[in-house]
Amino acid sequence: MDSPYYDFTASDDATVFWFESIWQDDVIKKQIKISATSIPNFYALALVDLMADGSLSDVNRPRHGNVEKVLATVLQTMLVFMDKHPDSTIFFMGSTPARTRLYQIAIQRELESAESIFSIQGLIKGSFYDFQPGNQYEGFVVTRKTSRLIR
Amino acid sequence: MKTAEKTQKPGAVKKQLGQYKTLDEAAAAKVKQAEQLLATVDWSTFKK
Repeated sequence: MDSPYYDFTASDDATVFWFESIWQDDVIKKQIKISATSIPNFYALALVDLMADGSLSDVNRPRHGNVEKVLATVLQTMLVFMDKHPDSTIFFMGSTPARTRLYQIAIQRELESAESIFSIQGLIKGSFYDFQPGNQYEGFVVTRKTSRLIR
Repeated sequence: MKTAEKTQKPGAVKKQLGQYKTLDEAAAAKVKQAEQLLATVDWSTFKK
């Protein structure tokens, strides 16, 4: 969790986050919402881009070479969420298999530092496995190992 | 046989897959996607 991340703003209940992905002279406004699912303590994370026409997209092609920094920001928002919802598990996956692979690559880069705080499991064909680099997952679940003081 | 034509009002924005008007709408779609995948999970493999 030492990687640089973007400053973000959080809603009071720490379920909605806003930040700007900045790459060279281009800025993409991003929003995250973490929502309860029908499974107790399981939440789903949505990450979307604000488009020029005002709509939101989760299939916008990443045009910034900063996926790692965006994912580092997502992990930081998870920490803030889990401060307020300590028993939660967050599920996330890309909107397409290609985006899920991008997340996987970014998780691999963050894994060493993130593992001290988070337990990360990947989903393959209906089973969860401890995250291992090189495997191809359909989605990821994150729980927090350690408690942390609220910032 | 007459073929029905799909018409689009001038100026209307065609909604694309993965495009949403609101964050709540995007979040609801993600919850649905997650629940569909998690419905098939063997929960004995999940480590809490």
